Amino acid sequence: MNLWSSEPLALGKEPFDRGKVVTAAQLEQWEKQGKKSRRYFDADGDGIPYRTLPGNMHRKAAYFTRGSGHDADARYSEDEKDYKETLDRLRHKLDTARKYVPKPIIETSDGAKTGVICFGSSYEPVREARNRLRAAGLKTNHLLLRALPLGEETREFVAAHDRVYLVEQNRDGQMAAVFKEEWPELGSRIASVLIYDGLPATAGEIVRQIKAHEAHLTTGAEEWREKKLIASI
Amino acid sequence: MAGEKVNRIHLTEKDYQGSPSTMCRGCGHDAISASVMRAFYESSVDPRKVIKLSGIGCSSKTPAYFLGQSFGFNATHGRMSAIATGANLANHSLISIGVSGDGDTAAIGLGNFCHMMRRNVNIAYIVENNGVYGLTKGQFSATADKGSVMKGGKVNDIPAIDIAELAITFGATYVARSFSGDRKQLAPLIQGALAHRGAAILDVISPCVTFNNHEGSTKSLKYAKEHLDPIHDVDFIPHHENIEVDYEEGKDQEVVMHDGSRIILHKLGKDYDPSNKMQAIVAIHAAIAEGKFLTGLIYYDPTRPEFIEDLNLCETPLAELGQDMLQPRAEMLDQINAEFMK
Ligand SMILES: Cc1ncc(C[n+]2csc(CCOP(=O)(O)OP(=O)(O)O)c2C)c(N)n1
Ligand code: SF4
Ligand SMILES: [Mg+2]
Repeated sequence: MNLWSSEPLALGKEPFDRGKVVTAAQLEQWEKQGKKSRRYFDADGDGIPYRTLPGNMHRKAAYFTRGSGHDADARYSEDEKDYKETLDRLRHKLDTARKYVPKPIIETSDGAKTGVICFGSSYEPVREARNRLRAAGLKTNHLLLRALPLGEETREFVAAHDRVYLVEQNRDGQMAAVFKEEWPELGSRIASVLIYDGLPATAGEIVRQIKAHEAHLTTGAEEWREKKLIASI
Repeated sequence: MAGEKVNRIHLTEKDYQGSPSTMCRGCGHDAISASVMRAFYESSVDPRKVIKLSGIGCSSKTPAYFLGQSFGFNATHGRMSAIATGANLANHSLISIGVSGDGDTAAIGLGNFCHMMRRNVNIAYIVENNGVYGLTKGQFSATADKGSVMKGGKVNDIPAIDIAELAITFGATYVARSFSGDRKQLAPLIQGALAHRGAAILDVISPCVTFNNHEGSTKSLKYAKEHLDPIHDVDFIPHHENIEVDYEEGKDQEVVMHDGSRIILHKLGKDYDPSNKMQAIVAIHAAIAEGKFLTGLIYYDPTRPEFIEDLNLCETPLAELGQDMLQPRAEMLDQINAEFMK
């Protein structure tokens, strides 16, 4: 029952990247140049400060890691200005991350005006559902979301479609809420396909919900809304 | 400064200080910090090779108040043991000192704590035990004794967790108990914990003078002082000091540590052998029954391998290995893939 095979494992080709780590030699050089090392100071304007790793023996290497109660030099602080600055920098860091987190994978079919977005284990049933929908006359483009925070590619995908079905396996449409908070102007294009019956998502259920929504769009029937086939938040 | 006393690596006691403390005046935790500084100074440990780990609580704040030249990590509440395990795996060449509270360790962090000891992670782990959640204003913790009275008058009717007994049961290999005010006993016990390779747990009674120092509390300064029951006086002789000790037959016991350092235990009446696990647990229970705090080196087992030995880790810390060492070669991966296809 539990014997499954995956594609053979492949070696990563990218070099390891630990980010802005400063070595003892670099600190020494900075000191000679009269440059100060400041643990939480946003020197490059991307919200990501330089850091040292334990084991770095330079006199200036060590610092104390704690929550947000510190200033840009890692000193304990209860000053509200320091606190706000830290949180604002973290916001900035999160925005920087949009460019670096894994990009979505987009699949298109000619002439499709309808988009489908999913993530994680919904991918395979969605793939099958898209095939069935195509057979029934509805072509779709697809975006596989692979990371948060959401990036520009995803915004463009939503903006390029009249209608986007966002498939997720929970009752409340939590991912749709994230989209709508990021881009309220695109919110009306998003319809949630929600699966939360305790069973694995199936292509059949995804097709059923999308068809019901399409039928409503063409007939204008309010019925589906009352039946809460699709929860829109 | 000319004439200032230095240790073997030419550091003064000042070099072991941290930021000024924000504890309440008279808090036991500050006294423990003083013993920690003394121990590191006396053992001539280079602060740059030390990592200080803690959780959340008044006690967990204290690593900021000693060893200002060491890296420090304030984990989330109760999660220091897990962070310490990870840090030890990432770089076992660093010396770990953990400071936690009875709430941090025995309430929210109990599961993590037990697994860290089960793995015999190399750390000197101090529990600054005041029987309450000091930082959140004095609620009972899991080490509050049955019958102890809270500041507002509430009586605790749930039995306490004994950290020393727990530590022995779960596999810690150096288990001691002491009192914050007894630097003479505490500092050498910390030195011993630093020299030990494996999980060294020190349960240190540390009165919270603001929320748990009243009549009816069994962790007040007065109560603790009146109920201490030391098994022995403790001396620590670092491996680099070639001191001859005059042993008194039947009274003094020498414990040799992994690095050649020695702990000398001067017995106080009782015949006690810290390598005897059963005896240790019986002694703890006997003390509990008498309402006493058994202090000293309660249990010591130098034979059990520490976690990284069990895992057969290489000598170079993982954090210092490059990609060439951390990634398998292509042929090796092919072999692994082929294994799966059989
Ligand atoms: C996840 C989480 N739960 C609860 C708290 C609130 N809290 C802060 S400190 C503390 C207890 C600290 O007690 P102890 O570890 O004994 O430290 P002391 O202050 O007594 O030294 C609690 C419950 C928290 N910070 N995080
Ligand atoms: S509240 Fe208690 S534990 Fe916290 S600093 Fe004050 S005396 Fe110490
Ligand atoms: Mg406490």
